[in-house]
Amino acid sequence: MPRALMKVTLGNVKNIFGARFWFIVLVVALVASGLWFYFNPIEKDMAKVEPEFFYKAPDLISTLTGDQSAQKNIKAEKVVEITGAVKEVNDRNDRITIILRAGLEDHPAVICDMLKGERESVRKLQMGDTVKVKGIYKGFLKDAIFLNCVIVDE
Amino acid sequence: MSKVNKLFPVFMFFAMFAHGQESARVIARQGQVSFFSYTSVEHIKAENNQVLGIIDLTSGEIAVSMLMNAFIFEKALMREHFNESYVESDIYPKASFEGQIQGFDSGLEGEQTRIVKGNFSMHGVTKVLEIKTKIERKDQIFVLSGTFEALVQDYQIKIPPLLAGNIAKTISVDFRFECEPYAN
Repeated sequence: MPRALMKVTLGNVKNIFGARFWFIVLVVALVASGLWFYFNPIEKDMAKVEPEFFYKAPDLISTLTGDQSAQKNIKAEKVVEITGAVKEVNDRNDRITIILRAGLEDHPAVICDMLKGERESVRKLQMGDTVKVKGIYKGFLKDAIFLNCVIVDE
Repeated sequence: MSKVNKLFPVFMFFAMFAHGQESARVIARQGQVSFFSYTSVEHIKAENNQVLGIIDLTSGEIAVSMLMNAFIFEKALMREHFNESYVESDIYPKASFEGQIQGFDSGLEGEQTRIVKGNFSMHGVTKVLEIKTKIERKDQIFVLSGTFEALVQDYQIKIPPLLAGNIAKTISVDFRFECEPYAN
């Protein structure tokens, strides 16, 4: 076999090996990242999520405690923006919680469990302040319960 | 004596009675229930910080209700598995406990330890539980806390064989309720 042809053939073999090697690396990387994202799903960035519902706190409670047909759309896990007057702010259970008044009575009210990054914004709130909060609706016990809440900047 | 004056003691009696009835209950709307699963493969911890608890101070009756989808996990995947595969929170959204604090003396200032006996319902299954509970009273605030264990299989929670090593057969449950007078 001529020497020149021999070199070309070896080069091709190296190229083929190189391409195959990098193809395998790419596939392994894709599978690994796919598995990583499957086992570590990223939480929604609540600040960027567009709410599906917008309510004033008293209207939200009226809807949730009233006619079945009116409340059927507000299902658990929906993102809702609520505007209401601050009834209470507390750090019970090492959480940051804002409770929005929904009427003259103590219950029902709107319980908003805030994300940790909201501590500074919550600290500035005074009782009776009107605030807009966005969070994931979880359900209704004596009060409406929202988790992963953030204060909506005007 | 005018009619108003004659009726005044009657009115006061009913007013006091009504007030007595009202203040005879205490409520916690941010009660905490946490559970822990320890295995050699994985430790899983979750907490629910919006558990509702109401106690009738006169009768010692207690009612607890919680939303199963309000548990917070360290990892989003754990929460997904818990809600979708294990407790099926869309089908069984709440867990509840109704029972009686045995030998409860609501007038006792300070600490008392009592057995709370009642029916715990979760995932469509109801079991009778007896839970040793510490009750601390300071003025009008009652704090109930304790720990109990629950067997996963008792509540018909099916764990896929592949994940059986990740979930403990016995789950440890902690609770703490800070109850204040029920105004409504």
